[in-house]
Amino acid sequence: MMRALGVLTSSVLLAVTGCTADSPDDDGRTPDDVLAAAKQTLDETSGVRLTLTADELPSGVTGVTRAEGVGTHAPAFDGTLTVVLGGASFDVPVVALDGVVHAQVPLVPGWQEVDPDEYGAPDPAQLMSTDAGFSSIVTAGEDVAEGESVRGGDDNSEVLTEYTATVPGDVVGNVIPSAEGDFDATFTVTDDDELREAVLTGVFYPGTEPMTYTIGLSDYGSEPTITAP
Amino acid sequence: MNRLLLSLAAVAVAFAAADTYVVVLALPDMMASVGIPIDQLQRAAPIVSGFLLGYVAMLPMIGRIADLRGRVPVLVAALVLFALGSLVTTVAYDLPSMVGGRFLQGVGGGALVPATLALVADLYPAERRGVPLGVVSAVQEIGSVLGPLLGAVVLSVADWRAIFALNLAVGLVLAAAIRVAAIRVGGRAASEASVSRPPDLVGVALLLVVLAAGGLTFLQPPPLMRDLTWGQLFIPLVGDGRWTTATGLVTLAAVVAFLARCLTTARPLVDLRGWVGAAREADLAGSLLLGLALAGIVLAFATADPRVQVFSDQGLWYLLGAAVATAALLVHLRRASDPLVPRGALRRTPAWGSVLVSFFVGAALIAALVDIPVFARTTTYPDSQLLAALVLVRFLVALPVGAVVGGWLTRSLPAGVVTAAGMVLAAAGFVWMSTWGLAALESWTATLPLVIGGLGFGLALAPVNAAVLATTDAAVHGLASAFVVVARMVGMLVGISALTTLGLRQYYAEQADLPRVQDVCDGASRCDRFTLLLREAGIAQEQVVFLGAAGCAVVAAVLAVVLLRGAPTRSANVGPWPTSTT
Repeated sequence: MMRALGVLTSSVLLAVTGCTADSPDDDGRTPDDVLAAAKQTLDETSGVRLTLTADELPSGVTGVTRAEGVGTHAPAFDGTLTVVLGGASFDVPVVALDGVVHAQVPLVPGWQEVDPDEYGAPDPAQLMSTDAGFSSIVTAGEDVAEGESVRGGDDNSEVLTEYTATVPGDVVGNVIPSAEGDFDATFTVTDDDELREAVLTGVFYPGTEPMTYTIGLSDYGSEPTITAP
Repeated sequence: MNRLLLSLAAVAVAFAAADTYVVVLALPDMMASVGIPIDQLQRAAPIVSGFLLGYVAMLPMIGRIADLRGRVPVLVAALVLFALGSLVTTVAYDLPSMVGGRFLQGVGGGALVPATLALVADLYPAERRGVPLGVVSAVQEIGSVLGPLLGAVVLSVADWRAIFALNLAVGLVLAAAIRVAAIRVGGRAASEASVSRPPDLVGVALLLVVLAAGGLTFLQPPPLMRDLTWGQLFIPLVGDGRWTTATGLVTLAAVVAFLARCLTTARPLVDLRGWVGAAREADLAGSLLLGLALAGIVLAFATADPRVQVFSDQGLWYLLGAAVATAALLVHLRRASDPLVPRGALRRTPAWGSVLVSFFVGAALIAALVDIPVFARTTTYPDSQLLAALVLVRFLVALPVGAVVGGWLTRSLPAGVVTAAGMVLAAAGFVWMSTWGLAALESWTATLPLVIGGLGFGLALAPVNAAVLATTDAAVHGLASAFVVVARMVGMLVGISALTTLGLRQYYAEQADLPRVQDVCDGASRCDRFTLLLREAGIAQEQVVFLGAAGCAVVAAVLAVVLLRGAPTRSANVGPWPTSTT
């Protein structure tokens, strides 16, 4: 229901604003329109499952190799971050709520409040923010171009459309705070305007080689209850 | 030509032995590939123990299968299984598939040793067997020294999957070479499957389908996955997971069809009926029960969450399963007409005592083999597997030296005393290692406990073997020394699982009062002092494992003094390795 509503509102919105950009697709929408609709779907969903994986973290960097969990627009996040500290990787259970990040720091029992910035990570709840979160990346791209239709999503059963773009580093900083320079982005969107995957390549950690983070989104419309531990 | 065949078999034995330890350096990388963080080492223990499980489950029954089926077919089949296991491990996509591959590798590797020993017995008259048997045992030990180095060399140029791709290639080449060598030797029995006969084409076709569909299921190549049409092959038809997709189901169906074809056709590609028949005669039931019991123990420890408790609820069920299997095995051994262990073979105290001592020696030894490289990689050499391997090599080089000295001492001193002395040295080495801090390996003094430990383990090898040989009948000497080896490997298998889990549990129990981050960092949630604290806490798990290993070594020493007393070993002339067969 939420999904249908999202599609409806986005198409109404699009009809109002009109489609002026180049190369409209079959239903008369430009790639920019589709990405704007995808951002809206994400911004309006009650909850979503997020994953983030790094292909290879540059050696010597303290950063996030993997994150997995559910987020809401409270904003709140409940999941696990895998951080690399001093060469070893640790799973850190995290609950972020009301601007506070609670984490089970590796090898220390119990929950503690931490400043994620100091671990090279964003406040995971802020990823769900509608103006300074992950979704801001989706519409911040320049030179957006539609790619081919591909199969993907859970169970590989969905038909998705790829869009490529260039995203400035200050917006990517919403996901990885230390990002700098331009990033190559590939967004994969379903027919229902759900963003399914975003692949970002560029320099996330200053002074290192470019690397790739893949962000996956699924279970739109879920209603997780997230409470402080 | 006989020598060529034996050399090939010996190379295969060395390679399989190398494979037991080839993973110890790759372990952190393999753990990362399947998403296991470094502070949950207990979950990754099956990557090592899965191999040992296959090895141990096969070892006792393969000698008799080799008698029934012939040495060369067993060697070739073992290498093919080893290659298959390597293939599965190379393309593994999660922990179960990785451990499954390692298990198959172990089954193949475990079958090589007894078949090669039997080959020696065929090729040489009894009075000339000593040297070739010694050589086979020696290459086995050399293989285990070279294993970590081989792994490190491969890792320095490629990732861990390359190690198993190399195993796959070597396994297939050796299998082909042994087959060709056997045909050239001209023994009718050896070449009963002569090359002139056309192979079962239906079987070949089914096998190709298995490989192709299986390859797609494991690898899920992205270009195919993303394709609108071909990608449908990877959509699960029922539920979710890889094995209910079109490719997965085709793979499973083709495997079933291939097995059915092999069971029913007159001239099958793989003589399954023959193998199953031979396995039955060689007490398949006994081996299966042993395998089940050990698998239960491995799984019980691997599913633990040491942060909370030693065994999970699931783990307790695995333990119960292991207990049931053990009970069934004991009943089976009492009732079977021709059981795995002939009744009464180990009835004298030093005989079963040596088996028990070997168990604890193995439990302590595996801690050194796995935790020394892991320690090296988490402290001084995070980026160089080769340098981390060289740390372990200091330990491994001392081991054969100790073995020779131990053999020599056994001629003049009681076996129990020599064994105990060795294990006390090993315990001392471990206690020293348990005090290692973050920078310990940067100092030359770190070599001392490594060498002391290696010497200690070496010392204990010969007297334990001598004791079991001196107190069993000549007719079961081969079996008895095999049991010492099996007991050592079972000890390793239980040791790696139990020490890691119990060590971590102990660690978490003691660390409940670690300070809060903010207290250490003046209000901030991260600072260098706290990172250092974390790194020190991180190596604490290995320090605890070293202490546990020291405990196992002390138990072995005490048992050796008590149980090996009175074994008439000083007259017997035995080498440092198990060198006797029927």
